[in-house]
Amino acid sequence: MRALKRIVLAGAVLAISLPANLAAQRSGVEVWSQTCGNCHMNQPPDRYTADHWASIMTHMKIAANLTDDESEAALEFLQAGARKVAEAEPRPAEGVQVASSDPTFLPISAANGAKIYKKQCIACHGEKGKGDGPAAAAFNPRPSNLADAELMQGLTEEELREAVAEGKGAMPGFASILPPEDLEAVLKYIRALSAED
Amino acid sequence: MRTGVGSRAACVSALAAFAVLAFAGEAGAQGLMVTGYADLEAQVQNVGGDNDTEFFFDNHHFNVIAMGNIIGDIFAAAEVEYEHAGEEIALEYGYIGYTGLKNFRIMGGQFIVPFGRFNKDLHPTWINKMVDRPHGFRNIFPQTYSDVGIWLSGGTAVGNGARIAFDAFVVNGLMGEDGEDIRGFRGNDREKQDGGRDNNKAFGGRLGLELAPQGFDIGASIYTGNYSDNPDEDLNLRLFGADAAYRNSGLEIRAEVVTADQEGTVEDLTKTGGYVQAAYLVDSKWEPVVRLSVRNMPGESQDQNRLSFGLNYYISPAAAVRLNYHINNEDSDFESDNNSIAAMLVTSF
Repeated sequence: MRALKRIVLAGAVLAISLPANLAAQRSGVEVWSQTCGNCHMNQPPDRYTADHWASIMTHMKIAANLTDDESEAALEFLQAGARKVAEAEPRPAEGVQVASSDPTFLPISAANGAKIYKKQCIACHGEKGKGDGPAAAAFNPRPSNLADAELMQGLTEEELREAVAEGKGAMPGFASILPPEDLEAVLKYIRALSAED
Repeated sequence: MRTGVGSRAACVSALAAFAVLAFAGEAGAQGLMVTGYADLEAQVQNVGGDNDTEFFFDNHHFNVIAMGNIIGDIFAAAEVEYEHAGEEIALEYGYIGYTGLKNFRIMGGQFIVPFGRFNKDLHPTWINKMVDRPHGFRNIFPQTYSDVGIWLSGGTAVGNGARIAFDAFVVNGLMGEDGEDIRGFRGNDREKQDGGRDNNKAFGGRLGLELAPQGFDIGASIYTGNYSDNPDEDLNLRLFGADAAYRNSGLEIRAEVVTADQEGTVEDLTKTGGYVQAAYLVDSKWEPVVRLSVRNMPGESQDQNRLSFGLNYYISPAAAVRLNYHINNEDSDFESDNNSIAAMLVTSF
């Protein structure tokens, strides 16, 4: 038992003294799928508000031993899709054009969709859309193969939009994460993936 | 853990204070929230036995958690557990923490002792894949074990999605009579110490390694401390735990063992228990589970093993219906056919 105590103590000292930047940073969705899902079912981002997620991630940082980088990445992912709190903002007068407040707003295009895909989808669906991203192993069924032309041709535009916007299986709905323009852009890019196959 | 009226009042007051803070506009901006979990159990015991078959409902848990980032890097969390329809009320944990250090946190108060995975992470009924706890986590490791003291926790990334997790604690420790059941040793608070006689603190912690992309994690835990409630006795209780898990494409396999070396004035006692569990999640909805759990106690008459089959249906990621059939073998006063059925509706909120 004394030897065991020494091993555990030595390991703890080693763990604390290791440089944190030695690791390749996992994305928020990877932490969510791999580490949150290690104990319980993955909770969808829109289950809680952004403030609630901040409290929950601090709690998980303590209880689940997350690194600061992991908890910050997971929090960013979860808060992006968090349940919106009703706001009492005045509505713009009729006929007044309001610019998108989202600084990431870009025109609807497959090129813009590629950027969004890389940020939001690649961890599960993989670089080529084949459902083989680094987070894919955590799910059953595995993430869909978006490069499968037969599968994608079987989906109407409405069915694909609904799946991405509302979520399907373990995948959260992205309507609460992405502004409508970005949602359309990523749908374009997803269609392009199967065209390349 | 049963508590007196005073403790109940304290729990309710603490909860009410948190609730007021959580819902007040100013404090709500700090991220304070109220959450928790609740379940309804139905148990049929001694299935296939004689006329002693029992059937009952139990509101086993209605646990309310309040937590939040209070100010700066100060975090606070508390869980009040109402067990068995309010028959047992206790503060499962209530602590404040400082999270301002890189990858390292310091907590003080009452907390769930970070030992093993089942006690530390998996015991809440909305997480536990079966209705009951496995053998080994009642009378050997007295799950759920909370204690008062200081807790250090953290994690360090070591490359390619791998992470070392570490916890260390110093607490009042388990306390009771020479050679008695460890489960009765919990609750070593000021009231039990009758004025604070127990100067012998207990120490321990857990060291784990998670290979997240591979879905693999392992860990080892220790606890050591003098447990005797007699000031003239120096009787050590040492607990050692080891755990491992593997997850891939809906398949999850877990194993955990715990050993207790309990010194006694007449004889030293060794107690061992643990479980192996496999679950397979299909289509994010259905999940068959099988678990074998055993405990080996001093003297054959207290040995037990249980083979459990379960089926979970997830109504949502937060709510589930669980159905279990247990084949029990107990070498004590029980018949060998005291198999049991358990069902549960559980949700987190």
